[in-house]
Amino acid sequence: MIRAFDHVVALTKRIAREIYRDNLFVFNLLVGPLITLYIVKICADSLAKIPFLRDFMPMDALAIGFICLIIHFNGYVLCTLVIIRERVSGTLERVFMATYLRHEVLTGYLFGYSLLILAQTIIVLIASKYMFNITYGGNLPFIFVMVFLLGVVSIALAMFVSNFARREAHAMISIPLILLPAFLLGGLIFPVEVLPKWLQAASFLFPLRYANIPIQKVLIEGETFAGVWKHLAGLVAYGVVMITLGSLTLRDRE
Amino acid sequence: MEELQPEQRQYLRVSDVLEVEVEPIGAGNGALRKESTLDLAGGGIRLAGDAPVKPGDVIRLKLGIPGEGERGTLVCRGEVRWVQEGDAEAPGRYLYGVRFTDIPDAERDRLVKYVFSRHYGIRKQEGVAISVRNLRKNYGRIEALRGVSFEVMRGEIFALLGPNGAGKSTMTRILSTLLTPTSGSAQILCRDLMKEKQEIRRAVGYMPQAYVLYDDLTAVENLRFFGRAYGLHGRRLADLIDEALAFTELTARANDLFRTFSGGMRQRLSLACTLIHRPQILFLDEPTAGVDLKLRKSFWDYFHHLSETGVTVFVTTHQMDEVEYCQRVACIHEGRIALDDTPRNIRKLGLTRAVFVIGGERREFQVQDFDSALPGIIRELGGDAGRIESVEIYESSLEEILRDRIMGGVGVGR
Repeated sequence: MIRAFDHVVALTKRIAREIYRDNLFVFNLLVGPLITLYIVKICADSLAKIPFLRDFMPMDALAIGFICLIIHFNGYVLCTLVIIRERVSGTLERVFMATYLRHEVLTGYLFGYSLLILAQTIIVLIASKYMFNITYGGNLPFIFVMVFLLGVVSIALAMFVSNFARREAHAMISIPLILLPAFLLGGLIFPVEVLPKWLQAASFLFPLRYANIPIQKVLIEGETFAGVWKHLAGLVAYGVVMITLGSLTLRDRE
Repeated sequence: MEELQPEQRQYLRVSDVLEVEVEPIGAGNGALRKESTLDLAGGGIRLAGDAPVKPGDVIRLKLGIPGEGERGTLVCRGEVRWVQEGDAEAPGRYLYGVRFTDIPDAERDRLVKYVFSRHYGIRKQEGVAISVRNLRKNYGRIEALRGVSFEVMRGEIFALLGPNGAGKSTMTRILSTLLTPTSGSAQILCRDLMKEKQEIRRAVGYMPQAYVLYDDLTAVENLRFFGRAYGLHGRRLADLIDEALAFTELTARANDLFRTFSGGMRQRLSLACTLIHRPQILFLDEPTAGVDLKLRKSFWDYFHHLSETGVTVFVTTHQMDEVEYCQRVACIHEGRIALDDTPRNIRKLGLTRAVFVIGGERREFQVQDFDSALPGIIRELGGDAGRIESVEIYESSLEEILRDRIMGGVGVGR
């Protein structure tokens, strides 16, 4: 137990250090979301001038959707690329040779990259408050937890999916395969309820909806925590399933 | 416990000095030639003693290198740079850092290697280290290994030689538990390869062909990351890191990022990371591919030092001249072991061409073993034997023997 803890700490520290050293990477990851959010703001402002669209879709929903999408996207893409790079270059097998166990590797990576997602979540939430005039009020802790957890779960999903990739190309293909359906089925631009039953069911396979829908409900419809806790539970369960599957499919011997 | 400062840690720990003698010469009397000061791994050595020396004192050291007898005694002079009153490392005594003032390069290397192997901590043991029985590996329809069997003894330097694509990497990866064989069995240090993966991983070190480590970590951080995996920490880990860095001559670059390293330095750090936990068996996949001749020589020196300590070294190579450095060679060709013997015996397989110049005429004989064939040749020459003017002897090199007999002369890189 102590040994496992030690291993996870060593892995987390290593990743945190690598992130810290790569200034350009960190700069892009922190500034990139701001640029995206600013574009979303301009789009939302422009669309709001068209009366028909204003009635059809509240622009706040778009902003919230993009907050979630940015975190989901970054968590997923970032982790996929890093894991596949480790696998292809051969550092991952050195990690395994050094007696790090599969679940320790997964947990360590999850913690390490969660630090980056944490920083991103804070930046995105602060920026969106001022850009979109969103009033978080007492809902802030809930929203923060949801967005951050979404990022963590996206990392877990990425680790699971990238276990099936043998080359960089395989991992690249997985990015649109996961992110485009998530974009459509996550309640970002239209409610999931309008879709046929089977597609609604399919939407549960993508983590975006677990965070996006409850945050919209809380901020736009004024729903309380009691009404949306199931989504939070769903997100946590999704994460647990992904980590378990990831740990089972990660091979330390080919 | 008082922790040593980082600069103090550059002084390697030496545990068994035979004699330390404080010389009457003090500092400042010109005895120290600053410009010729040779340091050891960026620092010197640290040792424990009773003599209350002061920084600046010059002391004479006599170090005994075990197993080398009289030749193993090393006498040198050093200046005391710092003194610390006893701690966990030297309870009730003084710990001092000594920087050498007059140590030749060769002696310095001997000392570093001694410190490293002295602290390696495994005792030389008899017995089988690696035992492979009828191992097969298929990649789809390609048969990479077609039933390979061999044994490697403890402390042996064993080379798996073969052209590109012969199955060397596959073999190394299977034995270091990274690849599952299709059939057959193997034991590493009497542990089953399939069932006791973690135990084997703790006891062996694997250096992949591509010397990959983490670009954004420094040499020390890379070493620490791998050391931590084996439960090493604190002073012990710091000591192991210092020794590994000194052993691979990287102390000066200890705090530089891996991505700033040249190819040879990367290779050396890769070796240092493989050695950090003092493995009993080393699996090295083409460790000398792409390194210059000087580094290659020092790599083989390292391996010999490790082997003397009792470490089994399993090396793959396609460079036949390296066979000379090994104690046993197995040639793998098209997934089978074609030859498995000592370099000396392999050499006997070669033909010797002897040319006798008799009265301006050249008469040529081709024999397997020149020494035992010579009487026969002389008998055959009969009366001409008395008129022999000169004899030219051409022995086939190990490389030629291997190329002709095993590989059929195809595709073997040099």
